[in-house]
Amino acid sequence: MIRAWMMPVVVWVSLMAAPVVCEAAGAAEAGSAVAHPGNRAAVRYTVYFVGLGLIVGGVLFAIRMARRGMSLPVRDIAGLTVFDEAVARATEMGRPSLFTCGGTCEMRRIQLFASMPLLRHVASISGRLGNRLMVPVGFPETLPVHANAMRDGYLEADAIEEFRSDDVRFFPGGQFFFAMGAMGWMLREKPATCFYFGHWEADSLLFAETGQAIGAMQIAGTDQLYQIPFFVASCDYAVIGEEFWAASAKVSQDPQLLGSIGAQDLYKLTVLVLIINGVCLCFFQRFTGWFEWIRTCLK
Amino acid sequence: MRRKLIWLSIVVPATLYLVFFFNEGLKAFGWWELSSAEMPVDSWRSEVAKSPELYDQLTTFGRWTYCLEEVETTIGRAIPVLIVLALGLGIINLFSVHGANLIKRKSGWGYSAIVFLSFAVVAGALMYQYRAIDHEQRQVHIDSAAAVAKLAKANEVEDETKRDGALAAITDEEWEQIHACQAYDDAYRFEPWRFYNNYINFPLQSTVMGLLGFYITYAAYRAFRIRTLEATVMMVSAAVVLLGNDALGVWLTHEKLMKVADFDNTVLNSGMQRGLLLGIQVAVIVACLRMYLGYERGIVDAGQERE
Repeated sequence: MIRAWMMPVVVWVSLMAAPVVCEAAGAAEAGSAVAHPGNRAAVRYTVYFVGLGLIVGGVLFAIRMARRGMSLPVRDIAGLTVFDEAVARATEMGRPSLFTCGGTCEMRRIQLFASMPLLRHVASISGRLGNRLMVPVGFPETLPVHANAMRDGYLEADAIEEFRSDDVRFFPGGQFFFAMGAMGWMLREKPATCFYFGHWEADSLLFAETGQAIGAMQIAGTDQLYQIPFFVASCDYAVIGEEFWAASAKVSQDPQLLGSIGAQDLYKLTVLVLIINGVCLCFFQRFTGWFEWIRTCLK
Repeated sequence: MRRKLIWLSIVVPATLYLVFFFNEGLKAFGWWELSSAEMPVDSWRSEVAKSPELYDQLTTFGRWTYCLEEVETTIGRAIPVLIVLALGLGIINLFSVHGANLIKRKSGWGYSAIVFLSFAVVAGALMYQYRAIDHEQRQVHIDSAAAVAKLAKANEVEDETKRDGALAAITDEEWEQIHACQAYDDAYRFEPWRFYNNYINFPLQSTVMGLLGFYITYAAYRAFRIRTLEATVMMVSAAVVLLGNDALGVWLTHEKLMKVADFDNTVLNSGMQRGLLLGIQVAVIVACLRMYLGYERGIVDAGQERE
């Protein structure tokens, strides 16, 4: 019978076994009749397969547990708990809100798909509170995706009459031309709340500083390491790194999605234990040479 | 129906990518090899494409890999066709919407006129470039291709004596063709596309990029005001890194500050970045899995209320 506590033990034992499996694969490859340049690649892919298998298995297991009502707790993320407050502020001030994914968030960016549930959520709040939502878009093929998510949000709030297709506006020409157009739109309409979620590059600070200049409350989220400091410095709330990927699960409060986030945390905890373990093993290796002994045995 | 289509558009390419990923991994174990001959890893596919006999010698896994990569290439070839179709549809749509605006004199019809005007100017300029410049340029390059290739091949010879011999073998007529090609490439001529890029597009982009300098200063000023513990840590860290990489700071502290700045960058900062990256990579896999399985709201279930 599988128990929840067995999961970390299985993951830990499997990951500890991975170097030995890799060594075995490498040794078998080195000893084969045909000397193959894929020797190191074989080791690398063994790690990939084992790691991917563990993470997929862990997530499926966590979702199954969540269906049975046993989901792992997920902490609150400050930037995601203030969505209602931020849109309500804009409504009280009689000014619109703005949601954008950035001038480089094209169709092939997975961040676009991670942001759409958030746009839908913001549109739903806007529809409920009777607030206008502006959505600048930088790529023509992503325009219907944005419009669809926004319309669904308004539908969810039973306020489809509030939805204006003109508010999903396309600014062509690439990253900086999009930034120029959208900044101009921001300066004219003066949104009271700005949401920046998606794939951001150099235009992040242009948007964030324009938002500062018009006195908007700003909530930003990205997984781009070099843009995080800009958002932290210029925005009221910054959703950083993996929090951005957990955002859609957190705003939906769907136990199955939250369960997958729990599995993700468990996996990271395992990796952390493994790193500490690896450091200790390397430390002992210097004194005992135990790994060389295993390698000799395998050969 | 709509929901199923959206779900399929995510699942089918994702499944293909997963198959390619696993296939790459299995290839690394050497299972693709020929049953009776050896072949370099990188060029095996082109070798098999050239010779049907080699295909017969492949293992079952090798044949599967070969067919799979052919499928990938075919899909890759289909993408430009789809793009061109989408472009054609876009132009038809543009003409019908803005044409109707112009004919019916709807409000803002002036902007529709500007759209047609811009379209005409850009299309005319590009047609001029294609007919007058690109066509001529292609012809010059075709005429001199053999001579230029001969010169390049001669220059690749490592032995000086043999290289001189190869260069001497180039005839006067061929040298003329090479010089004509070089002269054509070096000469200035008005090219609309290059003019737009060099004198309109890049300066405008550089101007916006230049704004970042000012914005970074504003943001740094706000972030470095010592009001909280986090801001203080940020301020001290920034001061150490700035002074540690500055000649005056290094000289004043006898390079001690430089070592502290290096430690800050290579140990503390790198550790934080690796930690974040680890979390991001795991989160991306989990998020993709959620989308793949159809758990994510807002994408797969888009529009279901309208059905």
